Amino acid sequence: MTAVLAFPVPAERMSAPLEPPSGERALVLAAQRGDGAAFAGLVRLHERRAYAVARAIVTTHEDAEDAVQEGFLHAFKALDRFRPEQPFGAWLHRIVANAALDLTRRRKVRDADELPETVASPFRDPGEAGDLRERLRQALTLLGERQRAVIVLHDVEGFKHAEIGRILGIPEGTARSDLHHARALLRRALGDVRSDL
Amino acid sequence: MTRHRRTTPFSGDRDRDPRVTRLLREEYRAPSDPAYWDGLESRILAYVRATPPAAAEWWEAFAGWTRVGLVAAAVAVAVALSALLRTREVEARVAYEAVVEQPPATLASARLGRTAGAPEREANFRYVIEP
Repeated sequence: MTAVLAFPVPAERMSAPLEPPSGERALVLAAQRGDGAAFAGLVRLHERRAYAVARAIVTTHEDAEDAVQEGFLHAFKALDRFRPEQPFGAWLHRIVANAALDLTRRRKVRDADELPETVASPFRDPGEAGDLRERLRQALTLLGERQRAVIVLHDVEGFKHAEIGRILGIPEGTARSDLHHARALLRRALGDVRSDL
Repeated sequence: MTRHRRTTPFSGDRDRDPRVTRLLREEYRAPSDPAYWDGLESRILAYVRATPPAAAEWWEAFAGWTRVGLVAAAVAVAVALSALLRTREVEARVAYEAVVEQPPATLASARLGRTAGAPEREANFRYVIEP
């Protein structure tokens, strides 16, 4: 059965400093007992990394946010099935990755049915070099979905091959191979851009 | 054995182009404003809170009925087995009685039938002694 959390979470507890990883296990156990503040603590601990995982898979900042929300909801529902001796982050990342992949599939189906009215927007900082980014985005579209996720998770987020394999549900060797091919393809596609940098 | 010195944070980076990596990191850079993460945390919690536990998984509504269902299924199986056994007993008894308790008239006619081809003398003898 799904745990029922005692929401709303007191603001002072939500903002309390948390110390992973020893604190994480306590948070997991408390959240499994239905402590809403503990679940909020887990969200605070893992939301950035979860966002990074989702962002590597989906194509826009907004979709990454949606996938993170879905992922945490699924994790909340499945919290009683999580074994506290396991690393919570790895478990959560797999869930978030599945949510992101699911969102990507739904987007594909929807985009196939509808004409796009707006161009999806990635998260932007004000000082970005728009032209170079645009060319990178075009190059990224040449990559397969999985290859893009692998290169972002590895080269941007610093995940190891084995971790990427677990997150995406692929063998470690496949992650290595995808990374190699993605790098080669981006290098070729951005060959003329590189001279501008 | 040769030991490779790692020059980058990640393994297997010989084919990595640092300039492409820099572009990728700029493209995929997460928001840095702490307020953004506070906001996302609040949205996540609100999203979880807005999903009632009862509606979380439709099949979980039936979880409480599992034991009752199992007991009912066991009772149904027991009743079915009992009925089957009783039916077999009745059938066996009927079959037994059909063989053992045949009416005398039937037996007599059967005997007559069996002697249809007997010599005439034996037939006459049977006619005299039989009721």
